[in-house]
Amino acid sequence: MPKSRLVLLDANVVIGLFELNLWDALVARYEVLIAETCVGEALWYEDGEHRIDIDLAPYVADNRITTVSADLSAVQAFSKRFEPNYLEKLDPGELESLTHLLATENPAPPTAPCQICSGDRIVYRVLGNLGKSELGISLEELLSAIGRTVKVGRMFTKAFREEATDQGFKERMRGLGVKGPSAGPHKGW
Amino acid sequence: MIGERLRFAREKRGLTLNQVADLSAIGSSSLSDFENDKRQPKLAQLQALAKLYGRSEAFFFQEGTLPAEQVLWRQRPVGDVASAIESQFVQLCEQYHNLELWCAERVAADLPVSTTPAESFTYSTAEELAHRVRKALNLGDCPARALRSVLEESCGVKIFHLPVEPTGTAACSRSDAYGMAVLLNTNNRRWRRNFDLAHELFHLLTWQAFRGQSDATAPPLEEKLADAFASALVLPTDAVQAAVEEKRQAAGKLNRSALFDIAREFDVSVEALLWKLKKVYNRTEEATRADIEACKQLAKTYETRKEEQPPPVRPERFNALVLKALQRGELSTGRAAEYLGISRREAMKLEELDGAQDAEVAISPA
Repeated sequence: MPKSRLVLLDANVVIGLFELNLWDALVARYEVLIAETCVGEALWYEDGEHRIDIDLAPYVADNRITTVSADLSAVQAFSKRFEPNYLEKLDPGELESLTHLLATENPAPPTAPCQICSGDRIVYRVLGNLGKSELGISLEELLSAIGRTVKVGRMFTKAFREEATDQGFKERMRGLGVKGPSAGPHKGW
Repeated sequence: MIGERLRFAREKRGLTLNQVADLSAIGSSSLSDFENDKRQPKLAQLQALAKLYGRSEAFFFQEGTLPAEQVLWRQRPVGDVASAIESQFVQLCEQYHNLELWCAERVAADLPVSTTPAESFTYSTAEELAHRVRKALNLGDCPARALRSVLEESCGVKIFHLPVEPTGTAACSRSDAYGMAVLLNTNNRRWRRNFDLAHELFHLLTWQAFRGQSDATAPPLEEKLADAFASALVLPTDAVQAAVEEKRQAAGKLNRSALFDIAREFDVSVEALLWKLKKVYNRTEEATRADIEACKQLAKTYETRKEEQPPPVRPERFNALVLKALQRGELSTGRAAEYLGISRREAMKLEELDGAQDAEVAISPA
């Protein structure tokens, strides 16, 4: 079956998929991208009372998933669009993912339309704040699109994504968050 | 350019390029290139170095002058461990500061800071300062019992606990970047830590007067002044005299076993109490030292205080701010995990609350 669109997953989503036992199903149906820093992170998930390590290296080796990295200068330039302290709120995986997706300074941007799937409110806030809400998608929506209607944790729901995106959008209307002439007088996060 | 900051962070951490190469699996020539801005590290490499140096990745992207980070030790640990502890301490301070900003819960440090110049400082000045602090913070007759929570919750002093071994005691730092902070030794008993906290508070309140460019430890006179301040603060003379008189009237004399009761009441060590009694009642040093030695033996029977758990590294308010920041979308799960010293999976559980925490608690107007 040909794979559907490009999706950039963050570490929380990877853990969530393994716990739902749907990681392989999703990887089979989407072109999955994962930030290089996320692949390097020691991730594990819970199976009942057992802790099971997640090893993404075989998936990378088999080209079932693709790693992406962001040039440090692109990360720096992207982060300058926000208050200096903003960078600290994101972990490196999210920063790398957002830079890859959004930074005009990225020398190797996505080759096709790509969305980011996260379990973190702040990621969707950023998208809302930048007016890029269409680039976010929840795990619930991704699974539903491939016929997998399962109950997911709150952080993976469409409602969570929409609420956080809306929060970022409203902040932009108040001149908060991203710097730029269209955002009005800047008041950082 | 991040090279200068990479070098600063490595040197602050007390590591050579070769040591970093061994610990990070990044070649020393690459590290040198990074520090000289000949090449840029990848983000994953920067992440590894940040972790090793006890810095946030954001630190390396900051522009402007390098920060003035001064940690003042009561007794600096020997060996390499000192740099590691200092890095961790400064990082915790910066994290706490970030959390306060993101949650808009910065506490103004409303403390009676001393303006007396260092050369004019006397024991009387130190004791008077202690009296002012006790009054300003409304600490009551047993100040040690409330000191830590008042300093944290009402005065914005950041207080952390780390195991400071094999040597070393407490430390403090004061910075425009993160305010006032104290580091206490996890391995000391609470009643000892109370005195250490008061001692470090003196240094924070007199920072402007006493701090030179690169002091790692305070000169002996300043340390004695800090001890005088601490003694006056946690063992107020009027309250101590009242406690002593009560024991003396009840038993007809002040015996050594009563010292344990009084020390427990003020939550200080018996030794600290005996030094206070020396001052208040003009006892000799010889008699004081004899009582200290005797009480060390009696402690096996009469020291009934126990601490079931060592104090946590991070104060409760810090943890509460992480939770708040995470749930407001001011902090990612990965960063929350790092701030709390837990795994990502454990941090994800903090986000799994269903909003019950936001439900209103209905109360009638008073």
